[in-house]
Amino acid sequence: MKPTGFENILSGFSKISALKFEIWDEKGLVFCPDQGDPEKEASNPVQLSLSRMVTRIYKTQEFLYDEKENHVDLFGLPLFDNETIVGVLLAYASSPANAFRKRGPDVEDTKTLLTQIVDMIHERWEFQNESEMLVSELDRNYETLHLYSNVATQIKTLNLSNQMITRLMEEIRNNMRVDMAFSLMPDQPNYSKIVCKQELNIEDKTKFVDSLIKAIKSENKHLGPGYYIINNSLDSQTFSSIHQDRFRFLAVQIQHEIDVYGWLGIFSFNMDRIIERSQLKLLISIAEQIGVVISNTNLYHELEDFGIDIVKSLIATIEAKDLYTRGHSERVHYIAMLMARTFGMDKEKRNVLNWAALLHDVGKIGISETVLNKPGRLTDEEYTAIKKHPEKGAKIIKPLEYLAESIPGILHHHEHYNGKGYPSGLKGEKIPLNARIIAVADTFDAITSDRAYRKGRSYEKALEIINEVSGTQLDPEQVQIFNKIFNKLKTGLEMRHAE
Amino acid sequence: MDKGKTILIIDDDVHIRRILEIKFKLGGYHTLSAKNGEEGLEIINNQKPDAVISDLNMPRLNGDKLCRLTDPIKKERPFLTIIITARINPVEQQWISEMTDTMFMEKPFSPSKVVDAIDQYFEKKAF
Repeated sequence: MKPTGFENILSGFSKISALKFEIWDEKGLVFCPDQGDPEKEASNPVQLSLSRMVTRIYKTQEFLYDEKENHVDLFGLPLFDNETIVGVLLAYASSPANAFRKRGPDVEDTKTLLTQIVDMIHERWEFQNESEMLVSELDRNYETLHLYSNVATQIKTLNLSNQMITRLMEEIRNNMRVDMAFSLMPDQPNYSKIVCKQELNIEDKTKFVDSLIKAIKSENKHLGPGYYIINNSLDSQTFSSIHQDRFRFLAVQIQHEIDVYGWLGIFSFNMDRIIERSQLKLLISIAEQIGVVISNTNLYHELEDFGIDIVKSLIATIEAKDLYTRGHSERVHYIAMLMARTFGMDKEKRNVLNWAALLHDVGKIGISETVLNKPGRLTDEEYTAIKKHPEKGAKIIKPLEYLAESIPGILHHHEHYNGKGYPSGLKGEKIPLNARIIAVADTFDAITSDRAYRKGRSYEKALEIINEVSGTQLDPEQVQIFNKIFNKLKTGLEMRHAE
Repeated sequence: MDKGKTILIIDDDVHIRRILEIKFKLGGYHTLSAKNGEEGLEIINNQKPDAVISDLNMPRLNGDKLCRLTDPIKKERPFLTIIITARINPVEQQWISEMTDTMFMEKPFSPSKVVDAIDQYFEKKAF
């Protein structure tokens, strides 16, 4: 029996009043005011009558007193915890002289006092029990809050990964105290993960999860909006056929607006508990967040692809007009990116170069076809018109904020290292890096492709010419890099040519 | 299973003290509690707990002063300090990393993780 908390007061009363107080349970003495001599205790006839009183009270579970011929010297009251008797409070006369007259007001007074003491003990125990339950509940809530907060922080990075999903499933499994937690996303197998308790009695876990989800689809009755709960597999023929042991199971759809991406689920053989509302809410919340992230990521990829398709369309418009530059932008792009990778340009800068190289000649849309495709020499006027294409290109790209950083590469790809280029006559390092790279690539492709007025030269000859103009027309550093990649480039271009 | 170790819990929030007391008792530890850094420091000096869990913002000697005062004690008799605080900033992360055997956890914290951290610390020390 646990302490009443009133032991000190009872000791005090025992010292100053006519009554001695003791507490017993079914095993024997639990508390008495003075420990005294153990031998003396055992042989004491009082102890015998106390013991008998305890037994009687355990049977009747109510207030009893011992009546002798004309006095009462022993009173007892049961102590209850959660409606079960756990002990007895005894009060007895410390000496015969202190015995009480039979059925007098003193007996009633004693009963009242004892009842009040027992009530205080009960109240205290009740508060302690409640307090423990509150703390336990608070603890559960803290764990859940921690989980919510963790999920929010991880998902905020908008970067789902296999490890993150694994950690998330483990936290869910721990927090909800279940045997298994899983995520199932057929279109993103990288995000599908099953975590379970170590010694789980299931052979093929993937097949098991699949059969659970299949069963949901055939058992539409319990399907709330986007989730499914079954607290006892025996309630359903489909589910009970999945595993011989009874289990409970909750699955929540991962969705956003109208798209469904998969399921989150928890599963347990432990039938002592049921699936709780708080668990359902938590799982729904996590599923919603994952749904948003996937939806956004998909959207982003779609937009990226759309952007790329628009650019390809733009390039196609140039090539529709300029017959001899079919594939030119793509080849310049290929060469420029090869050069950039070689000297270790970082990913973001490479993205900018990527667009600049693909779109460097977009300004040619503004040049008349007759001039672009003229077989003979150009007049001064015609040449001036062609020289406008970098500026026209920059103007065309200007409204596209996303491509703003690519404009310098487009505008200045015809500058010369010695300052004698166009449109601005920039010199040396003042020419934007992307423009210097594109210039080399552009020159190489111009020399090696067939034109209206001449045939293309060989790759080796082109390399020779490029080296000749290093320092004057072209940036020597970029020419050096070009030399480095030349062989790889040749192989690559030949392969593309063959295709 | 009595692990024979004593954990000191310092927090001005009674409900946090209670949660941690119960979790640690269930984990087989003895617990001592203090309402503020001053009381906490006294207990560290007199009763020599094996680990300390502490909040940062408390009246009468807050968590970071407590850590600085107890850091020298740790050089002779090491014990683990776990600081529990709402959202930690890089400045705080900095001084915490300079203390001996001190780690932090952000609120809302997981009570089981605190007990796990203590378990791991003692397991490592045993080797």
